[in-house]
Amino acid sequence: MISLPLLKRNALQMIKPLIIFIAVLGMYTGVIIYMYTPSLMSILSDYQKAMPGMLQAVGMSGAATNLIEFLEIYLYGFLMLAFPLVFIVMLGNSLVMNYVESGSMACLLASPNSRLKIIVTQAISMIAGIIVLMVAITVFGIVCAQSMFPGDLDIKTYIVLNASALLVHLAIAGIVFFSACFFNDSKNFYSIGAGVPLMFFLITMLANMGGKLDNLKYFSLYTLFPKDQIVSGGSGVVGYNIALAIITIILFGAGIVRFTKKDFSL
Amino acid sequence: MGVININELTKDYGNGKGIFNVNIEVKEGEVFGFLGPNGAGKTTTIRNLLGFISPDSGNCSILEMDCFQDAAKIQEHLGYLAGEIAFLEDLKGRQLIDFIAAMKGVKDTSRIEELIEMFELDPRGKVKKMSKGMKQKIAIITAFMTNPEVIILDEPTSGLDPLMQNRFIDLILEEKKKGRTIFMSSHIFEEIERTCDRTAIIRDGKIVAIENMESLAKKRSKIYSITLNSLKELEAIKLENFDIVDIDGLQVSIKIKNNINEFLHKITKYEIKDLDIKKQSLEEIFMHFYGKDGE
Repeated sequence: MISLPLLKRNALQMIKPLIIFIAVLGMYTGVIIYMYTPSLMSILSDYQKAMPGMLQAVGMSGAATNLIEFLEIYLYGFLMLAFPLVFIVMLGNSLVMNYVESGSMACLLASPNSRLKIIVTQAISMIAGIIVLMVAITVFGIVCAQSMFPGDLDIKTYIVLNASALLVHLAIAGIVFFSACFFNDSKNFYSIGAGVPLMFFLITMLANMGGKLDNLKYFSLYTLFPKDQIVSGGSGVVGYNIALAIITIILFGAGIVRFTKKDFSL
Repeated sequence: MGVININELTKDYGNGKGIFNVNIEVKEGEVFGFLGPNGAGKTTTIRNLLGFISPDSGNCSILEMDCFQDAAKIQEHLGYLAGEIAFLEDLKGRQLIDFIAAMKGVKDTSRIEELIEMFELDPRGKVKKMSKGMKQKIAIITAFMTNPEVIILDEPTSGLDPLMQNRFIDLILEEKKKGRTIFMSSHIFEEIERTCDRTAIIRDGKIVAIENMESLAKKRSKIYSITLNSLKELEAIKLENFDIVDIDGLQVSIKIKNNINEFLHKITKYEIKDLDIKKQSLEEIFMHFYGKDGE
């Protein structure tokens, strides 16, 4: 049900951005882990006191009592959400939108491969790209933590945290993928496919500020990323993850259906 | 039942744009031309044939398979050249050809090499940097690489130099001999004249005529432009029984259909400085179709 030549092409196309994003996120992960020392941590909490709103917005609030909490506060409120989002929008553009807008989708469709086969290949490539990114970062994070602070990282929780982050990225990818399948021009693709996730992102930042703004969290998909519960060992993590998986399946499914039925201007 | 069947096909884009109740049947082994002014609906018709869009009403089929539902199955027998070529710009020429061959499941590359040689293509450079003509050559190669039974071409020679246009006509004639069914839109009369058996003319989304090319050639007249020596002779020639289409100074343009001999005999009486023969252009021949309703 997938086209191997196309899958191969996608893999080759993705290698460069993947390396760049793994390098950037890996660097941040490494730096944040490196900062897990009492002296640097006190500097960070000084920052929190100096610029409370600013750091709160990007989720950097509260004191960490262990490495996993420290990573959750400083990585998973902002960096681990923002960078993958850029990567996902890029993938949506290069795997689907660009072909449709430039007209080169005709090269793919003028072959004995059904629309279904083409778009399923693209969906799988997109999902695989995101999985590779998150797995690489997870492995890198574990290696960094074990070499700098052996035994300090709760590896199981760290893996669950990243798996949940992966699910939230896949749900976001669902939005990007659906809009790439739905629209025939990149202007609309960017306003919905990138605009909606960005809006969720900003809403989450506002909700992080607390107080009345906290209620805004009900309007953001990122709220379904149960990072606090995972780290504190709270319940409901599985429920959140199942909700994210369902959203992912629905959005990718809807994108695929739309792609197989729509009119192209090729 | 023809190889390509278009039945009451309608795709309405509003504002009078689109195609309306188009009926075309292309028989096996036939080369079928498709003519019309820009925006008349040629590409819309071809998009329907390729299954890129679904019709509002009516239907079209190739080899008795529905163009939208069975697009992938049809592709096993089809070669297609797009009117506006958009390739994967990140690849080099040869990589692109190999990628499309892989997508089409081509194992035997001998036909590809043959075509590359025939069109003298140097496929080493990046596609992004290639000229329109080079891209057109690649498009021709990818359309014919599978030895398809049915071939759909949308303005196949745009961007090619005259030498390559001739090569292309040779290719079409060669394919015709093999019994392929070819449907092609074009603006170049010579191309249509030398290759097509029948030609449909589309205007404002409607088929206004389907002409047999042999009978069309008979209808085709030539324009003889004679430059005379004096106004006196000009006045005299006006009295002859000629179909004068234009007078510009001392130059008289006369339309002649079949009676060339009679015409030549008559003009020997005159002092002629120059004689020029123009074939009627495609547009001129089809003008009466274009003018049929309205205009």
